Amino acid sequence: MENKMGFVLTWVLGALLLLTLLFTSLLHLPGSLRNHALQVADEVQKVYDAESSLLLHLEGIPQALFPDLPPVSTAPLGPYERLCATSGSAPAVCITAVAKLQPLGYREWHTAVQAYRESLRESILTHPALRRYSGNRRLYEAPTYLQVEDGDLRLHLPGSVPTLNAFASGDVVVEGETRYDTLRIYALGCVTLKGNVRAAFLEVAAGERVEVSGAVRFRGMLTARREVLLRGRAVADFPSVAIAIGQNEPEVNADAGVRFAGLLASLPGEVRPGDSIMPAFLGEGRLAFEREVRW
Amino acid sequence: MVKAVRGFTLVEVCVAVAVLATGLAALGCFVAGFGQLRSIERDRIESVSRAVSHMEALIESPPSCDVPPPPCDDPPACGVPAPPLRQALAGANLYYAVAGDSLVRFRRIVRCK
Repeated sequence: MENKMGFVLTWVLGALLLLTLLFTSLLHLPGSLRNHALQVADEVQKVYDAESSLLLHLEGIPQALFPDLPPVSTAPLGPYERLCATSGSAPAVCITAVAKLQPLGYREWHTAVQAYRESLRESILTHPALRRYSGNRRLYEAPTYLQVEDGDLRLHLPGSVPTLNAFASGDVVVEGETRYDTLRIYALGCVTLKGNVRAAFLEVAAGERVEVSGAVRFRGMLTARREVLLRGRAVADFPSVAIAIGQNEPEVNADAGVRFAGLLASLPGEVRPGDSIMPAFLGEGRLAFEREVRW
Repeated sequence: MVKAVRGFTLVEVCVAVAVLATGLAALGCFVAGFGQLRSIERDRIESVSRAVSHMEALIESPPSCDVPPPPCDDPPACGVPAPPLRQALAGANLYYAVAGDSLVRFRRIVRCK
């Protein structure tokens, strides 16, 4: 007859082994959480180091005095400046800044704005993805970079557009209910934004005139050689800049219903005392208005 | 005819009881260690949270450039701005703030008012 009683001891030992393994694995849980807390603390300190670097940079203190802190890199971003501090695998802390208002002569203004406009034109026309069109164009879908020669450009794009960079030798009209993340336009003629267009980052350089009307909302920079006109219920979020700079009494005008947070300047006129910012390419002292941590 | 059923032998029972007792004792130690680790972990997490909160408060409401920070009941956790960076860098109005305790300590340069 088969005897099954001798297996009981094996079963008991097996159960104990399983329980031991279970509790051992449970013991690892709080330890790993503690390690995670230390890791979080380490990352927070790295963010603080990066913020310290940026603060020192904004105050104009040389980086060499603090070799332990991560270096700061700067890059132009339209009318703004992008400053990032990061080292190795640490999270990058970036801020976007404009310049503090300071008195400048007409020649300095003119030179800086002309250089900015030329930089915008070059960045569009020299891009390898540029697509060229000839004659008047009305586009319902558009490439990221486009050039229209010998004609006007009318953009009526559906939905949302991540990036659009356009150069036109004539006029440019942007209309519809399009939401642009980045919209950059250089036109030798006039530029008109109307309808319900939204642009999170806008750069417009017009040879003649810029007109923003309707319920257009944007943040960025408008420059024209003759006039910048803001009409209707247009909204410019902080810190936006509108500059008219040319030979024949350039003007910047805004209707009563317009909300503009930033700098309005027509040169060679006076910059209003209440304005507290300038484009980053015009001054040295930096004023951060946006912060971002990238992991 | 009654069928004979074999039970456990005395040796088997003794060995099983001994193994069970050893296992329970080991489990007791594990449970005690578990509680201790959990306590350490809680302290560490609270320490990190407290230090971050205090540093953020220093950033939000920066200390005065001229008046030294007021004394507090728990000095290691008070975020004493030390050393004053503005003394080394005249006109910068910056402090080197420290917040935390013996477990976690954060440092950051902050503006002073």
